[in-house]
Amino acid sequence: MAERQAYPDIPLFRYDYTPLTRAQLAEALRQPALGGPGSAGPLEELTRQELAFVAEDGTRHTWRFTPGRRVAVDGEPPAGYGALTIDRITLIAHLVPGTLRGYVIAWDRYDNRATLIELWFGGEPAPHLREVNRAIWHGRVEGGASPAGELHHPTLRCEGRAMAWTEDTGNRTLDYYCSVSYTHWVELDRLRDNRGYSAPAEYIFLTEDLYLFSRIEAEFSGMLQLYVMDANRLQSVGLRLGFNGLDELEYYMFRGTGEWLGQNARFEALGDFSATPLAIADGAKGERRIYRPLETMDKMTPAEVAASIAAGNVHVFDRDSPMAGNGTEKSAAMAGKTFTIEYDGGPRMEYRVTGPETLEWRMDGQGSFTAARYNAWEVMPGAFIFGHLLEGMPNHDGHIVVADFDAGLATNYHGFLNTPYFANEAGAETLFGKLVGEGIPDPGRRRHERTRDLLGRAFTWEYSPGLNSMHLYSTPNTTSWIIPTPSGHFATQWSGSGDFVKIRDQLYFARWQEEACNGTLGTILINMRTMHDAGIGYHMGTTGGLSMSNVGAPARHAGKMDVDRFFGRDAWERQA
Amino acid sequence: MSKPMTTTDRRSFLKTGALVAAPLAVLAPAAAIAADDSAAKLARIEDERAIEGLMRGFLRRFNGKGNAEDCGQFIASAGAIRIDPQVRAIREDARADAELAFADDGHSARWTRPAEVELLANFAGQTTLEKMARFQGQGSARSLAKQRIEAEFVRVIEDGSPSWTITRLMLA
Repeated sequence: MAERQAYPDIPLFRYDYTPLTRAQLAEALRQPALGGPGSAGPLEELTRQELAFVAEDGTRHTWRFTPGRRVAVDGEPPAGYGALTIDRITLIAHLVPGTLRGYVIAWDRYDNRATLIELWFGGEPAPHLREVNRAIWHGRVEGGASPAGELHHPTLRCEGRAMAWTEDTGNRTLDYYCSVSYTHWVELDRLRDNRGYSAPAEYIFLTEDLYLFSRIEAEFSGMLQLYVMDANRLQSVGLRLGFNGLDELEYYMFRGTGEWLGQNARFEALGDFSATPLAIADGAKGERRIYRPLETMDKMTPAEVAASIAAGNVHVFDRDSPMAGNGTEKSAAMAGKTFTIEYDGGPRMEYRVTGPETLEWRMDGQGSFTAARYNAWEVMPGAFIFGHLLEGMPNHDGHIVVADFDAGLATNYHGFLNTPYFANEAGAETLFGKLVGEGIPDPGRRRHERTRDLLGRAFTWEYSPGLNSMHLYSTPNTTSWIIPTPSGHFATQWSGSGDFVKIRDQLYFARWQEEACNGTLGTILINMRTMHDAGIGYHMGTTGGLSMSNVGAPARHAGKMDVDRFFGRDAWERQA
Repeated sequence: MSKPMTTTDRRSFLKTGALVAAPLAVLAPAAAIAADDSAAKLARIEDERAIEGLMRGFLRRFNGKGNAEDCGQFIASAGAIRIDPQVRAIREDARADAELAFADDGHSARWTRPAEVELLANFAGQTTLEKMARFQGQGSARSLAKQRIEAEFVRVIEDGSPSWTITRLMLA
């Protein structure tokens, strides 16, 4: 088990969060419920004695406030509460003593529109007891001004935006609002490996300026991060609630200051402002679509992997790939070439390309040549991506190579199995090298280099009818992918390790690893002049066996966020 | 039960020098038929209409079911229909005429016509994209494609009367 840390220095998807019991949760919440949330700055005390909320569905709750920031809801035992106001919105938060639940109210003091969020631990619907659940009602606060027109409501207006936030705690976060139902965030201080992670989110329209956002770090700590942001003034007030990696309760309110980073394009039809494309009709309280990829991932042992491969369950470009329904034609132009790739600190690979889809390779001059099937695409004249398996290697390696024969340079996303986590999950390393062969220029010490040209950039990919995604390259070592609905709302999102290499101007070699997810190593060579890619997927699974398959799709450039300055020079280095 | 009167294959079509290609909307006299042979011309027109009706009936049945399961009455053998299982509907392109070509002996024919094809892709695979699409309730996707119907027919005797049946039908 990894070292216990509040904010692990290993990827969150590798950290074993404690499966806290209800008794542990109750004990951890008991005293904080009485005391109320902490804060770095002063919290407010409400002057009114009672606040009655009525939701559009008739749900009604009444809070009675007493001096000393005490509150009781619906006659329950009194609790400590916190309140912070931003412009016309007051955010009130408290737990209910003796229970695993609490409430947040976002109350518009001008017109009494309000949103109520009930929060609870203990599961149902979340499968993890430590994970915060939420249920949301929109309505009004009784008394005084009565709201006219539409109540607070889910919105797509935030979709595509990104903000950098600095809390009064000092914690800095990049929040990408890539979706109407998910978000992607990068902890710049508490986590140290410059990774981004994805989580289910809420986006609620309060006013044209003010939006309520929340994310629950499902599949990780289960923590809630909730805030009301003023998009114009770039300020926020919020609540953090949940258990960190040391199982310590974090229960505090904060103020934040923001920095606008940009907005990527949205893809709903113009005039479509609907915001709940994945709503579950008649869902249970708190139910929503939370992607839990580890549940559906094949998990194989090294012996199972070896047995499957030994039984011949190996497929190298022998099946139609739904990831390449709109792919480009394979290239036969490498046929007849003989060359060597000398990788820095890596193998020396000799190649004899015997045909449009067949080659022979030999590593480090050892033994005889081995025949392999390959596919290649010439993505820019003289620049190819090709891939093949290395039959007989103990880790069932695959080499996915971009070879620029005009420059004499090659980069290899070397995939392998038998990682320490799941034997069928693809690991990857990036190898830089040079091509050696007749007529190939000698690049000397020059090599392809990692690039930040893609950092903060987003592309849509239209792989096949009905199978589309968007990539967001959120950090120097993170690729995130977001899945649209047929209506063009981008929705479910996930992410994994990425790497990005510049091959030529407007030609980039990118990869992603679906760690603790589906186990695939995905690679693409992106041509930003033609706005199309060609790539190769390397995957091992129980039914499909070991495979290499093609990837290809036309792209749309959704935009680019200005985030480079948030990452240090060596930000692509991290522990895998 | 249909009984083939003759057999033909792609090669026999290709080597036939006297194929007649006529848009059905313009039932021009076939070159292979003497200009004054009005009985033969009438027979050819009847053949053309029979084949046109056969195709219309086949497509109506196929589109109603979304597959070729119940199309046995239109085809000569089980292997005659070679259509991708993703195809759910085939709609002839009304802007383009069909081309019908008869073999010299008049016992077989070949038909082509542009069509709009409706495809249904089921996302049953294990790629992450398919899994996430299924997770969002998007287990399949419909799409349209421009293709061409290619069909071949033979004349048969059915219940004592001459008729036509499909020996091969595919989308190209």
